Amino acid sequence: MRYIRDNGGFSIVEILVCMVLIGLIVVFILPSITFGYLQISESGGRTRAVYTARKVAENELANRENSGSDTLSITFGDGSDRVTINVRGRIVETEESFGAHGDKAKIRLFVPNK
Amino acid sequence: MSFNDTREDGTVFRFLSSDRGMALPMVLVVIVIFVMFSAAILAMGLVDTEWSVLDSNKAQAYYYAHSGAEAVGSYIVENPDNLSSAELKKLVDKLVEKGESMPFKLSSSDEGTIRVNVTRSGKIISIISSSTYKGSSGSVTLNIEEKTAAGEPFDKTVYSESKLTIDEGGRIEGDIACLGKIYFNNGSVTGKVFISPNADSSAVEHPDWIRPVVDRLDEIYEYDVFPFPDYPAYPVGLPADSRTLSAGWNQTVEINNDVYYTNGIDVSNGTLKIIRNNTGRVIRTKYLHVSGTGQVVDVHSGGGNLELFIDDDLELSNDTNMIFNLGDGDIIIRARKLLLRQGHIIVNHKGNGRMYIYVDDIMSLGGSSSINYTYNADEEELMKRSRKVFLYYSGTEDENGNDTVSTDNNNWQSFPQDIRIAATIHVKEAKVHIANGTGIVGNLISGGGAVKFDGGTNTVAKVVYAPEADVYVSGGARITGVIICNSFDIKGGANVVYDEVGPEDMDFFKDVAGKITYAYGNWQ
Repeated sequence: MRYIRDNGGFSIVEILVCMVLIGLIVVFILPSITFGYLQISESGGRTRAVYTARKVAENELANRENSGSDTLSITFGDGSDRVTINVRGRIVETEESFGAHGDKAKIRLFVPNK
Repeated sequence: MSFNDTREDGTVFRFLSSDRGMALPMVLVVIVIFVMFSAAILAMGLVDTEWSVLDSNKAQAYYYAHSGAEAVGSYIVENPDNLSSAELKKLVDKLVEKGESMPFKLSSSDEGTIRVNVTRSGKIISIISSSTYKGSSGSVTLNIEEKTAAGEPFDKTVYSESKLTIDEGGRIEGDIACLGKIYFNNGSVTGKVFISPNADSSAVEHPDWIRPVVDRLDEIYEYDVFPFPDYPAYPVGLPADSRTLSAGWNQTVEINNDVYYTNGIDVSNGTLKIIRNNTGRVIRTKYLHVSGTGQVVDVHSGGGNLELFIDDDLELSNDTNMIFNLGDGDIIIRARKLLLRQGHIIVNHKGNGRMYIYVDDIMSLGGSSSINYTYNADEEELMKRSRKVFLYYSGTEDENGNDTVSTDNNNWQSFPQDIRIAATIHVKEAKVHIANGTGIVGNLISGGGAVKFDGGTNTVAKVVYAPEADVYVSGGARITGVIICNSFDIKGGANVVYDEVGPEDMDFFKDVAGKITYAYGNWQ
């Protein structure tokens, strides 16, 4: 106190204004930084989750089984002359959680029977 | 505060702390830094999030597209419904014809839509699948190869697409197959009679005293038209010689260099020697006539090719010869007209090279002419020789200007008058008539509408391959080998004898004949 008083460096007004500004930083700017950081972190988590889901999807495609009971119908052309092929297989949904709120990255795909 | 202010102790702290009003600017500076930092972090976070969401959606769109291509591809390649080869090919052709599919989803709750487009480029079937999901799109292409498995398609003496008639003592040794009607009137088949997999015994009509053994085909094989080759282009830029090169009585003339005789070559009673000098030789001429006792001799050396291009006609008459020495290089002859009037193209086989004779417009053969034939060789040797000489003909008229393509007239591209040929003959679209005691050894390929054998001809063809043609065999003609045709009619004591098609000949037809299969190609 003696140091400040001796040099007369801060006025009370100055200190009050500074405290208000510091308050503004705390109220507005720090949450923005926190939010930005969380977003980056979450997008990283999402990217990782998508990558893992893709890995699982590729694994499903590479190891096809003959047990699927779903049917994918694909129709070519329209009218009476159309051609429809019905392909048996499985609709696979791979799902990976990420982030603090348990968000999920999903990949859905059709894996034909072997 | 003044920045010109100086103190004896000089430290920054003292400088700052001793000045009134310094704290506010400092805090403002810190705030600005914090604002910029937070704005940067916020922007980075938002952009990163946006991109990761986009990436996630793109991944989903990709897997939707992949699903469509995988589904169609697996259906074609793995054939889960056990369609016959012909049915599967028909389906694939239909998918190609229809183009893009209607949009579809994996399930009704899915947000993404998928479309699949099937296209063909030669033997490659491309399945192009595209999808959209939450504003993102994905597209993948799966290429599938269409293959023809050779082998069994040549295990029948006759394989006819639409009709097969046996009459007037016609005899077929071996099995026959027809997808349409088979009429036995008076004739015989020593083997089984195969009908379409879905046909019943009414497909075979026969009198009571003929008892054919009828069976169903396991598979329907595909026989595509054999692709006709592109002819080699006439060379340009050769050194031109405007004289008519003549080899008269007992004269010998030589061609030692690549040259273009713009006024033709006459070899009448003399000898023309083509000297190769251990290199390839390219000769072009307006015409090449060989007559009297004249002859053309290829003095072969080295492994280069000999190429002979004739703008108009190559005419051999009066029992004249062109003698070629086929070493390890090829011999290529292209002529607008090939006129063999008792002329002989003699080929001495000395290496692994092949001879290709390309005829554009007119091919007139007669008077016991021959190509690559020797009476000293047995049938097996002749067959070997035939695999090295290829005669291609793309004309549509005979020498008199009559149309030889239409099946509504009786004009034919004839191989008459006891001519002898040991070669693979490929006629692009004219009707073919093997007549008057002619003997042909080698595969006969026709893209035309009719092929006729009569007049006591003897054809030792491994394969008569004419999938679009109506084949008529009569007048005591004999064919040894396998016949692939649209319809078949045998009568008049003619006979066809099965001869096994070995791997070498099978390989020659592997791209056009056989069971169609599909194999996974690459993803794009």
